[in-house]
Amino acid sequence: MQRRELLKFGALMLGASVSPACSRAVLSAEDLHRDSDALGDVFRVVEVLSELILPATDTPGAIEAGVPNFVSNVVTGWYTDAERVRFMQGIATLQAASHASFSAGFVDVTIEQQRQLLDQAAREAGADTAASMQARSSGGEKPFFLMLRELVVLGYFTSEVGATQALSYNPVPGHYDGAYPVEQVGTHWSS
Amino acid sequence: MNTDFDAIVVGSGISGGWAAKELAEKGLKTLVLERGRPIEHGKDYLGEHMAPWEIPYGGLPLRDLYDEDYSIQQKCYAFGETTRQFWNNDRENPYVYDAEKPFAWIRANVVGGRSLMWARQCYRWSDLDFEANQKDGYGVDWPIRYDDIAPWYGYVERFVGISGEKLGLSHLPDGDFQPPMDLNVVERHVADKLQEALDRVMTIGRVAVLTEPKDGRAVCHYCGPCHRGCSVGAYFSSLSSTLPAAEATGNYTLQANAVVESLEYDAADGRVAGVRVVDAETKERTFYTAKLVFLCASAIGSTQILMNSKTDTHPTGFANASDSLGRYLMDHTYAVGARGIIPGFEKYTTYGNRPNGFYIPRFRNLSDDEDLPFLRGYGYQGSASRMNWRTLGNVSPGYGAEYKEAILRPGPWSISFSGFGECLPNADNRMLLDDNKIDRFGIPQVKFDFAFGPNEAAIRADILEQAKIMLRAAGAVEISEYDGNAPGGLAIHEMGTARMGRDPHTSVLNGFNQAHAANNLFVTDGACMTSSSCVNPSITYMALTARAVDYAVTQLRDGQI
Repeated sequence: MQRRELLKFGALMLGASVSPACSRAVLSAEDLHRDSDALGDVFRVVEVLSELILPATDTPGAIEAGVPNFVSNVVTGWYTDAERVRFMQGIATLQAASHASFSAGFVDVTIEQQRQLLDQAAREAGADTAASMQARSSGGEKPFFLMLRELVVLGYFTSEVGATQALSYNPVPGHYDGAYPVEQVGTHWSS
Repeated sequence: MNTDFDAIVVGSGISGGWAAKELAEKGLKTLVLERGRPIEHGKDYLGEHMAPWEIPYGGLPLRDLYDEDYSIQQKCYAFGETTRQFWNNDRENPYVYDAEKPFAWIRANVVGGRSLMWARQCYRWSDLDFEANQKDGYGVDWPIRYDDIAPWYGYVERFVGISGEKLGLSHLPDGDFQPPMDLNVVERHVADKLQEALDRVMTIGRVAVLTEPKDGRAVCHYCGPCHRGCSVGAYFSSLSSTLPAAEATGNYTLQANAVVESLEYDAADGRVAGVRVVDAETKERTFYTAKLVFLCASAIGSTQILMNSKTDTHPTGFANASDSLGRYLMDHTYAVGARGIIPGFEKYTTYGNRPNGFYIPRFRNLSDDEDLPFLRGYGYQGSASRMNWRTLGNVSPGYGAEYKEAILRPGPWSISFSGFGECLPNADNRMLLDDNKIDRFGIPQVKFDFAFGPNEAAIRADILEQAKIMLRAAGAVEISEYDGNAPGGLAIHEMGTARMGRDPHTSVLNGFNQAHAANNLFVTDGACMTSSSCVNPSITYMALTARAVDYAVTQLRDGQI
């Protein structure tokens, strides 16, 4: 379902079919996309990006936590048209860079190449180092990398997998201890 | 249905719940009129214990819906998908909002009112508060002093169940408390440092959440977000406490969806004859009569009813011979303070979600000889906690395994001091009715003319300065101040508009919350407040309500009413 929704929006971004409700998005999108391969399989791109941002480690990764569905839901059902355009523009930019540098779409290049591309997006967002994060001004439009990362993080830690396996979930603690050893929790509490 | 009662209570929130309980327990057949829809304790707490993954869009605000239907309510920290069912729909029930001079009217629209979502902090006033107007000349003198209300504080505290620490401070009197909750390890450290360096007190909040079982209500299980509702009744609300007590008497009738339009005044008799009610669903109109009428519809709601009850003999609203009705509107300063990081406690976290924080009682202008650029004072509320992914995820660089590891661990201990400053009573801060804007029941909408003044600005500046001084004394690093310039109303401590006073020429109510204009009419919610103190006001409304009922029923039985 999410996959189909996201693909449909991808198609809309390309101006293939225009409904009045989406006219704002499509007007902006027409300038962004040069050819019908500009976006590729958006859902698959989101899957790869989600797992790059929060990979499986000793705790589950973003895909296992259902993050791609969450991102897709937000992009198609919660974002404004303007936000959706900016998100899709980010995907298109990533695809264009992938084609230019590696002569293949984002999902088809190696993980090292995907990381190079995502590094570039992080640099452009001023989010690649602690120093650049501090130097960023919070105002203005949020760059694609941070839009994406924010959704991946929110989706992950509010998912059942993320809240119960990456964090510690205890809905009815029963009492309060204000000096509880961290080592007894391991990670952090879900909240 | 019977339309004649011994007593009518308008509103079922904190004050209305108390009026209903007290009147019914004294044997009066009592009708409670609540404009909101009926809900049931426990069963209708739809958001209680809702898991993060059950909340739509991970808790992101549903912007289109909120902008359309909850343009004001969404400004409140407690509003969201786990609580939305409790709040007023601002499209259906609007007021005149002036974006240039905003006042946020935060309201519920269910039985129990805001007692369901309140922050539960309970602090007694002292004579420092009750004497303030007389001393500095702002507002009229309170017709009561601490001794008048002290026994009633105890009376309501014993029923409410308030956990807290006794401090022996004359300006923040101790109450009849259950055992206090704990400060956490960092708050204890900060409290010690403040005591040591500045001789200032930090204590755990005095909060209407049980640490010992009470009257069928269970102790807190520390799930955290009380405002979603608590089916075991660990926090005090009308639904968990006062309304069931009223119901147990057999003297209590609740009418929900009952919007009170106005009061009918019997000029010959000099009394309020009854109240005119519109059914929120059917628009059917009913007239209810009673010997006593208690307005407990909230500061704004009660005064709206009085203003809409104008007659030939009361052309500017009922009980407004003094021209003080609607005036002297107050709220506390809100969302102004500072935060910082406290290093050195990284091996500790907390267990359980404590629905409470710390409290720093007022330390300014406790004596008359302090040379400060403002009158009165403020207190701080806040808490210390380890940062989590919500903050860490935003501020950490990069992505990948290292990023993930950094944001799922407990982050630094962060502590925040948020100041609640007293607001002077000012005749120009007021609410009015807009006769050109009528709501769906035919009632003129409320409009506000409110702004914080120079004294509140000076208090805000001192709140910022002293918060930073205390953070430095506590060894905090990365200290930053915040002041969102929250509009009036957002502290949800709106008070005044039908003040108590000694003189009918300058006040609406006497020292027993009784209207000068009609001896069977009482107003016991935030509208009655003559000044605002800097502490959270609800426990004072409760004590004043219980006291007023006691007086009213005695007067009624003595044939004085």
